[in-house]
Amino acid sequence: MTKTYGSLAREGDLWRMGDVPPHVAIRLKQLFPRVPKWQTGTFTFPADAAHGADLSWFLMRYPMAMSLDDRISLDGERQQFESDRAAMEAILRPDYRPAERLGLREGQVIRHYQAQAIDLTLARKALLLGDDVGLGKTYSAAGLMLDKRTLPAAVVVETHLQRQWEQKLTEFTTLTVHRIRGTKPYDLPPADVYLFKYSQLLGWIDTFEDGFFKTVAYDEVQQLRTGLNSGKGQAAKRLSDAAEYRLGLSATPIYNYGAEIWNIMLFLDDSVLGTWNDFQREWLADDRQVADPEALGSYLREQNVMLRRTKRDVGQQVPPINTIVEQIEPDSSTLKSVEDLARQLALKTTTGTFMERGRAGRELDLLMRHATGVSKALNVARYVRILLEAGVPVLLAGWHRDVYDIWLRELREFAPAMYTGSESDAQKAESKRRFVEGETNLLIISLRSGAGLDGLQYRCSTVVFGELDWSPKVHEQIIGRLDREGQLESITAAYLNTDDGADPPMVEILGVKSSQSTGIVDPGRQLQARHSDKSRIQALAEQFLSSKKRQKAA
Amino acid sequence: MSHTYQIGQLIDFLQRQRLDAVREKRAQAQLSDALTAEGWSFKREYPLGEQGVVDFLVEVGGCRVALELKAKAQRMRIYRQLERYAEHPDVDCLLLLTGTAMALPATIHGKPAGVISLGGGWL
Repeated sequence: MTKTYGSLAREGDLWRMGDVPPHVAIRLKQLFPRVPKWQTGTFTFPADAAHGADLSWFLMRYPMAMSLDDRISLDGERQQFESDRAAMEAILRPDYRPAERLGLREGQVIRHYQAQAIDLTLARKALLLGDDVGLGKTYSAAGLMLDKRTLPAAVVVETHLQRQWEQKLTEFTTLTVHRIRGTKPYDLPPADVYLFKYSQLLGWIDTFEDGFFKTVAYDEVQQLRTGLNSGKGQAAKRLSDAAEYRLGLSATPIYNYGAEIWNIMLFLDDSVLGTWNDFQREWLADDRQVADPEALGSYLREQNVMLRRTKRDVGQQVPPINTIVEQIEPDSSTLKSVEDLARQLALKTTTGTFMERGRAGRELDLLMRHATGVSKALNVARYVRILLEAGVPVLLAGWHRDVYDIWLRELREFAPAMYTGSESDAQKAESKRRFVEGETNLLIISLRSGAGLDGLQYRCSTVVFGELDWSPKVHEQIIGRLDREGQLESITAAYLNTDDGADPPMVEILGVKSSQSTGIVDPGRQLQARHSDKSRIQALAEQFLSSKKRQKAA
Repeated sequence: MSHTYQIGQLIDFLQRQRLDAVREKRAQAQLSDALTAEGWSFKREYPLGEQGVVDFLVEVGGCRVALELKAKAQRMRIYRQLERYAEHPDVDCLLLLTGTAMALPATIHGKPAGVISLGGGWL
């Protein structure tokens, strides 16, 4: 008879391992890092396919006493794991033949890579779909919901995209769609898909536990990056826990530091990264930076819980984005005037009470950023003028109202259109119309107002950042307004920074954040140097100078 | 081609690199690969005797550039370090590639010096 090293028995949805001798317990803890180190003798594991596979492997080395039924049950879990794994690998092969889907409108097709995402979600039941902006993540989600098992489905979207989703879903499929109104639950009319805004989730929180929604899809899932710290996060967690299929959509799932991925996975598959303590111990270098982003990115892919294809991966031609970084002279008097105040605040940050210190530090950051924006606004306007006088349509991104005011004053003759936090939805729509129809060549946009905005790409290929954001993904989202299907020209993105004020430290923080998220989102990708070609801007500047000379001569 | 033009090209090249902004060893390996791929002539971990070991010594048209890469720099300490490098006869000019926002004087011991932002490459 084979020697045994303890026992293993099924108890409900757990496996219980008992009478484990110390030397085997030590091995067990090395191999299963989530087993608490202080636990001895008895250990429990969730009874699912993945644990079944790991446990049967451990039992090959250290056999344990088991009943025949349990042995069959464990073997079943292992086989399930292997066949699931094989099925998912087959889906991702280029020669995979996806099933035909009914329910598309006449003339609409699901592309091969979209079908792969759909079938992987059905097989894995949880997926973070990180396809590049413009690869049709909305259509992948719509295609998923053509499978009857996924209905009814809840789709959670950003406020300004609820109508756009409704339109896309009904143009693409025959699914019936209901837009949720308000934050007070009412009797839902029959429909296949229910469109929630993130801001509505909390109001509906108590209706989510009944499992009515078989699927939940989160558009721009980075909205949930603060995890359970927000009301919408707590509501989303309930929605996720009750749903069978969970899909997160975002080309930019990590907005800031790498640790955000733990919060995102909480809503898609909360077992994959373990508890926060596990995650922190195993993956993080401190409380927000991932020690090895590439390893984490590879792990998520290997678990088939993340899928990301670039435009190049699916055979689309993409010219690189021409990124120009220019040093702009700040107006030093603006920076000086904050300096005095800053000095007082700085004093508080070192000598004040704990609360005072924290607040003073934040105020200093905000003030510095504001002053930096204002100090360079004039020269930013001059730079943009060069482009405008050459008839180049420009998207100009900023953050502070005072900065917009300077731009509006300096560039008045170009009748700028505004798309910022100060405009109503109707005013924004009008601004977009004026720009798209060519009534103005300048659209001033707030850094954080642009997500999902579509249509500018037919009109414009140049974006100027007159102020920086703290998150590199915000810049990416703004560039994504132009860099999308329908754009015929290569994109130029110009960052106009100063070497004084808030810009230099912000640039370094942006670098750290980008380098983290790139590792997780695109592990193993050969890093490309930034493509930077100033020749066009230089030519425009020369043209500008010679036209000024002519004007003077005349 | 003049030195200044070529050093300008080296600076432009360095400004465009996207290097790991957290793990310095990795960033150094990435930079070494990139320098090799672009055909720059350089030595890694170049010993400067008592003055220490500089991360890279890049030869640009007869001019030897000491290039130090620091993900996170303590400003005063790195300045002292560059000062020591500047004392060595093998060094003609100094470049610091760093993820800490900082400035350097235009020359250190009469040798031209410059800072390049590690974060800038990621824009």
